[in-house]
Amino acid sequence: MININRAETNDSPSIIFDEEKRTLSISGNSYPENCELIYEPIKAFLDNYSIEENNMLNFYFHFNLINSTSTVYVAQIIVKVAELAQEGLSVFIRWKYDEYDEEMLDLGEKLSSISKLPIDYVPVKDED
Amino acid sequence: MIDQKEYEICCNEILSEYQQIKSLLTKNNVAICQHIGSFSQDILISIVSLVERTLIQNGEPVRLQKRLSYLIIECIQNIIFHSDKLTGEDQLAYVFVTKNKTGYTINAANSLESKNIKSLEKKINGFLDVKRDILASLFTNKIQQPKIDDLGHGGLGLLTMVSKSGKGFRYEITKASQNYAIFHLELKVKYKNFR
Repeated sequence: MININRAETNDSPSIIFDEEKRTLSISGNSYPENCELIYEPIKAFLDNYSIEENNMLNFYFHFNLINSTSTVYVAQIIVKVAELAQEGLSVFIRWKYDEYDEEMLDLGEKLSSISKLPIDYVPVKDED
Repeated sequence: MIDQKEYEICCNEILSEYQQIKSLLTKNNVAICQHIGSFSQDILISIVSLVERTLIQNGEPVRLQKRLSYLIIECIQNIIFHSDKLTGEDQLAYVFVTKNKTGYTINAANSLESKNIKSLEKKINGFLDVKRDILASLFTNKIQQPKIDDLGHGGLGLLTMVSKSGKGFRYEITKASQNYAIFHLELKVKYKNFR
């Protein structure tokens, strides 16, 4: 299996795949210079995903700041997930956003609209 | 490769504009951050961090903090990825973020090869000519068939800047020399939109 886990940096998100819980979590800032390094492994992971072996996958997204190219990659991932869902994958997507970040909520709604996948929106209060 | 004379003309124009913005600073129009020269991802990270800290200290609403940060990211990555190199890998550009009683302003300028002027004008004017709700649907259409270009970019930076700054988006392209021009950008984030 492709190792897609990454530690968070100032400009790139942490990526953690919990194999036991079948949950892929992406959180933090996402405005790296090279988005390909962050997101292509996830696309490859989905391309090689075997629904026969595991027919359930959860996605937890929680972005702080995201640039436009990362948005395009996340859209590609969501579109790929929607294709897998049509093939029988059971998908759950949680979209966390900072309580007052309406633009991030709006992005989640757009991703739900283009993929026709329901998304669970969770506003997060500032921890400070 | 740019010749020495054209290089000096572009440098002088960008430098004089930068100095002009500095000269307009007052106690009611203060600098939040400024950078002139070459831009890199490390410089972007420092600027985003500095601006975030300043906005928190100023007690600005989270929505405004996010909006300004998004615009700074797109503006500087536009310079990093798309401004034409003047000498080797060096770019000459500036970003200046100021605050006054109406809100925050990002001023930026970078060099541009004259041959790219028309395509850039066409692209930006196309976005400026349509209404805000159409911009939103343009964005949705783009991510509906999400494509990454050969350079690894999503091609949504300008659309994002126009969309997020609305009427606060202004640009100008001035011819600096036979082969080079300067792309000037002003993005305003006004308090009245966040009350």
